[in-house]
Amino acid sequence: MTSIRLFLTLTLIAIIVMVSFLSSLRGYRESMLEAENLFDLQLLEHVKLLSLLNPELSSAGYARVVEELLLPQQSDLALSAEMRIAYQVFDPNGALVLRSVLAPVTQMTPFEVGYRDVNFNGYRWRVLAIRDPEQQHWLMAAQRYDLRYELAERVILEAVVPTLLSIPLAALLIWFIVGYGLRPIRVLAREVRSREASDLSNVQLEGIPKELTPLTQSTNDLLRRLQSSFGREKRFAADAAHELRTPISTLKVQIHNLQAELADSATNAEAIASAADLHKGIDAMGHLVEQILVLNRTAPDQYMVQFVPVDVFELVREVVSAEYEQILQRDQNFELEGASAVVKGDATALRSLVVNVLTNASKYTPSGGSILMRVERIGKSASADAQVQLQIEDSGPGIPEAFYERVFDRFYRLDGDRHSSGVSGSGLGLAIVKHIVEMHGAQIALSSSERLGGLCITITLRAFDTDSRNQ
Amino acid sequence: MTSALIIVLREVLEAVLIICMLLASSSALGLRFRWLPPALFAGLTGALIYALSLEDISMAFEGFGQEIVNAVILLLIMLLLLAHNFLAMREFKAPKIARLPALSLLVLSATIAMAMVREGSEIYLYVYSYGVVAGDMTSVLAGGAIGTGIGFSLGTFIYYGLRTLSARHCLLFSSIMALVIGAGMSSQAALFLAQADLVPTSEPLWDSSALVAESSLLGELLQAVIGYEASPIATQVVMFAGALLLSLAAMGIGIFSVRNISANPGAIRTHRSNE
Amino acid sequence: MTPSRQPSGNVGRKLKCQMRRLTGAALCCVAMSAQAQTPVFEIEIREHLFYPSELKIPAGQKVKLVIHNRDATPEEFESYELNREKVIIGNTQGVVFIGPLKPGEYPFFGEFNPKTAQGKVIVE
Repeated sequence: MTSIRLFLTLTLIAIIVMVSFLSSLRGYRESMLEAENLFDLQLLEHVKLLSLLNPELSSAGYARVVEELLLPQQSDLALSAEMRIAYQVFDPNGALVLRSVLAPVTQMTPFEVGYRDVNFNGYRWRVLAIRDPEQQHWLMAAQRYDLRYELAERVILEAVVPTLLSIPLAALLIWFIVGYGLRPIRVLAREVRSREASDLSNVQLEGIPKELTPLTQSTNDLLRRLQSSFGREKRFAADAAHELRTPISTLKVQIHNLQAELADSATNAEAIASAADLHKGIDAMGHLVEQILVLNRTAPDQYMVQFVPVDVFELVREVVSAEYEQILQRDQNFELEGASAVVKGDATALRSLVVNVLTNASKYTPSGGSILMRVERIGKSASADAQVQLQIEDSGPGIPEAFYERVFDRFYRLDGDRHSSGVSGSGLGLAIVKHIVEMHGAQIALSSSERLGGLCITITLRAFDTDSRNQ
Repeated sequence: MTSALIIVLREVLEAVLIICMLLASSSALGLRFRWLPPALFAGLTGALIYALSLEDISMAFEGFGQEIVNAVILLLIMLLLLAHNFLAMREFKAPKIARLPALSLLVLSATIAMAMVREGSEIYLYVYSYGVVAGDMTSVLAGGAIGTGIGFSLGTFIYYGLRTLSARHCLLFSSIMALVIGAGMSSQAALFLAQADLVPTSEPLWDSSALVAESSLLGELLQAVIGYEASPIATQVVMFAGALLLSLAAMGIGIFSVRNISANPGAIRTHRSNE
Repeated sequence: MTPSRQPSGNVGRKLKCQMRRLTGAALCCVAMSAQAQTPVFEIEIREHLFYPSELKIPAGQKVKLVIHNRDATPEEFESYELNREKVIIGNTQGVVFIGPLKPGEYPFFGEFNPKTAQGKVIVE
């Protein structure tokens, strides 16, 4: 049962056709039998009339032929002319004394009382033979079978044909009415289908039929539960991160003080080293908490969009100068290519994106390696499909193709914590990047860098033309 | 009108029964309906060719060409239904594992094409002969419409009736239908052969025309389903029973052949991995 | 209307003579096939009518029925009671074996013209 509409339409039509056709068939058969009885009765009446004719007059030994009564060519009388009756009268000795023009010279049926079907003159006839009780004459009247059928059928078909013709009309009506009746289901389906993934508000339709109320109710229940559990999860991470900020700041201040005190006393070199490690650990924790907050803030279903024109090239330059220290520390060779390219987006989020891809590349590229960033505008200016491409390549170990999808998952790190590069990280960087890319309706693709042999990340954003567009 | 109705109804009933039953098992066998139009087209073409060459066919085999061709077509359909039952039982025994899609497609298409040849030629001849006589077309059309309507309504009920069942039960029921339809066709084939004096004949074994007349609506329906004959001869009964047994045997082989497959663990693993 | 609607009553030998006289030709000839010992009976179809429309055959014996179609249009010789059906193309003839049968009346008709093309086999 693939389509309710088709099923309902076909079965309903089938039922109507079955019932009405069987009843008209029965009606037809009954009417035909009735018509036959009527015609038989007509023959009987005819024979009765013949018996009143007093056939004695033709006992002279010759057969008298009765001419047809010529009727005026009027339609109602012409009809009866079709039903002309052939008749014969035989004297008690079996000699033909009277016959109509239509009747043959030979006797139409044996001398036996009753109705009988016989063939003569090239037609099949219904013949009635009766013996006159007083005069012992044989009276016979016959009617052509085909004409009887034709006349009866013509009358009965008048009743049957409209039933047949009404079926296509009924079918059409059923098709539309079933379609109309199923409309709420289609509307509901469209309403649910056209939703954004993040839209978990109640399904609301006007005039939902009784049959669909349980469905919409349970759907709404489900949506409500889903929404609250989503909200709890989201809030939990954000709240936890937020709550952690204060103790971490306190920790930072305290470790700073501790380090200062240890430096003053300068007693234990090991203690100083441990304090430095502790400081690093606390910084990492602080970074992680900040990343979690960014991740939640940039989640596409959360973000309050406020897009402004942003020059990606400028942004990259700014970020690079801010982070240059890290790159220098690792003795990495950094290059930036490209020219000014404007997109419409969220400045903070885009900055976060650039920071993340850059630190990611720097982190996984060994000391002395190279990093290449390129900002490019693709497509004609002012054309609708003009794009800005941000590409970052490195000479690090890269990522096997099978893991391209997985690395965008939160807290996912290649090889778990034992990353071959031995670098620590939150595992949130690329997840944040992905969020921001989705937020801007942009694409991100991972590949292997042809020039440097490491990972190549390509982010494609829609270009924005300040001069040609007024938006 | 009745003559048109009886002819059209009888032929449409037989064709519709087979087509709708096969459509239902086609979907239970996981086949789509794309094979149907070509099969119908081939069947109609075959029907036209048969009707047009009926004169030559009639003259062949010492004037018994018609009987022999009819009997051969009927027995062929019976054998195809037998193959259908074999396939249906394989699927019944091990759903989705033991499919033979190419063979199923071939069997279903061939069955429908053959059924169309048989029923289509008869309808064509009737309409043609009536067209030559140029009688009252209204009554022919009315009768034809009623016959077609009743036939297609029944077909709709059968199709959706089978589809409401689970795939396995659908296959079981259509196999039972194919079983009796095939047996009925084999008994009709016996009749044609008796008409040509090619098989031993006897006096009718019984006469149930008082109970269900062959010319009644129920009689036509029963004839389409089980090849009902009010006064059958012994040869018919033997061929009917023989076809029943053959079909049951085919079903048994179908079930048994799957047991062999599942006994071979390699085969079942490859099938599972395809799912 | 069932095509087999026929008046009841026995048909005497007289009818056969009448039929011969009426149609003006001997259409109901009985011949014994020399090899098979199967009696042969002939029926004609003219203007969608069977001549003779009543045919007598012996009981308990297989007989060969030769049906001549003198019309231009095809006709299907059909009988529910005899369990026979055969299309006879215009201006050709067809052969149908019937029986052995128990005594009784077995109506037959032309399926393409069932209103008029009617007849019956009387088994004695």
